[in-house]
Amino acid sequence: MHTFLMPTLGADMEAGTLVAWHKRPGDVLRRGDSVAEVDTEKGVIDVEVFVDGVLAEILVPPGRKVPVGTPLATIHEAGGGVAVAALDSRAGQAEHPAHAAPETGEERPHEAGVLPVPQAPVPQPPGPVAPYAPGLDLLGRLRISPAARRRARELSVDPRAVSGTGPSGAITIADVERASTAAAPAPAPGPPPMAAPEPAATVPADRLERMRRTIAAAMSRSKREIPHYYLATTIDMHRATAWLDAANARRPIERRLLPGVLLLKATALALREVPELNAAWDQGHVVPKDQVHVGVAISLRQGGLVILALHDTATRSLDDLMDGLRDLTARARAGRMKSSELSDSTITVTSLGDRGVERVYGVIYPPQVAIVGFGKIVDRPWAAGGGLFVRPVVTATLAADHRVSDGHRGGIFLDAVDRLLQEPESL
Amino acid sequence: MSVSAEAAREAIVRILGGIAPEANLATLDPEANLRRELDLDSIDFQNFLIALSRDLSIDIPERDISSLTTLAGCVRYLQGR
Repeated sequence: MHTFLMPTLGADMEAGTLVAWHKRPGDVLRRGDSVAEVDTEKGVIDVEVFVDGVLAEILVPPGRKVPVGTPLATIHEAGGGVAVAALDSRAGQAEHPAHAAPETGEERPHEAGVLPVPQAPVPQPPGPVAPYAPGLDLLGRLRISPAARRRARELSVDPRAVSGTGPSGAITIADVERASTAAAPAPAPGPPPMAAPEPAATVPADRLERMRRTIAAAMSRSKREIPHYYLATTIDMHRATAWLDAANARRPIERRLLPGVLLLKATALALREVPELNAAWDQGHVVPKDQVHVGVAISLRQGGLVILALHDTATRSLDDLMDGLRDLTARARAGRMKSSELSDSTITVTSLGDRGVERVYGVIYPPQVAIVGFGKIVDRPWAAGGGLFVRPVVTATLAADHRVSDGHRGGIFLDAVDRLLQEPESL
Repeated sequence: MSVSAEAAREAIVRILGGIAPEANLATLDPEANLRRELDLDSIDFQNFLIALSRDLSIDIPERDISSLTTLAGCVRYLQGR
């Protein structure tokens, strides 16, 4: 039996609201099928399943907001495979034992009336759903300082199971540490100090505010924990742009390639030469990634941004990547994304586009270990072969994690990006 | 097939409304740069051109894109097709 969990859709996500189920118990599931919709501050996400099987039981009805890692459904796997499978490793939750105390009566009110509640009858869960992941309760519901919340995460303590001794019952670092050393099972949690439910997630202004908060949390963590180093180089783009112009002259508008897709492909291929930049940092260790899924930073029209994986960036054709990039951008702006796109990226590329600036220094998106930035392509004087020319150039930057790589290797990476862009026909 | 100014404008506004739903297109200066006014990135703009090409059944070659930077320019270009 496979347990289908509320996935973590990016480092900054703590909880999501189950909006609708696309499948019913008894339905056959194929790897990659979208089985449910989850509402987050980034929009409504199609959550995919990563096993083949049959949907057995739905545990969380539409309208309920649950923390990351909460079991949403059970699946009978095809072929009776190993019990805990792919989705869990992607979500990074399988390693955590279900240690949290059973929750009693803390069921969230259904946020019906403001959410697009589906009509299909859905079985009620057999009992209260136990929270699963440590320290991942909804932001602001507990009186707990960020430092204590962080400590709780480090110690795998569920902050809701901690009784606070600070002002107004606030949970302190000492409380967390005391709870951590207390013998299991943890005491049943009392009612949350702040009983008012969070406002529903459908008001754009509210979503924007929550998105700002989650971006702030992820970027603060990045700046606090990751020892960044920064490199920049200027790349002659005349071969790449001439090749693009010639290719586009023969193409109908819907097959037109944008320079950004060359930059993404060159980045992905350069990672083969410096693979340590394509990795995740997980609790003190670097975890290399075999596949290259470049995350594309996409700004949203009302503010905020999302980083979505353009899967298998190194092995797809430019045409295929261009289609993928257009599709990702349109769906990101429409708030229709897939869970794998939010959780799979192994490195990020940020490009402020052709109306932007010449140079962007990125902030690494945890748990990644590098971010590559491209400015706009501009004409500049360029000396080559003893002559002076006007050439289109782009400034490529790298911000990378010193725990994993050094400037020397980062420099080799940017040099490889440059070299690849001099042979655009090979991309 | 020729496109009337009215039909061209209607198609442009409808497509832009899908790409930039928050924009007030009624007050858009016809001579202003569309990409700057509506904060369209290169992919938004390409999606705009693709939709225009599809909805009006016209081919938009690469060399013509420079004529399509403003609302008035788009209307003129489409009328001439």
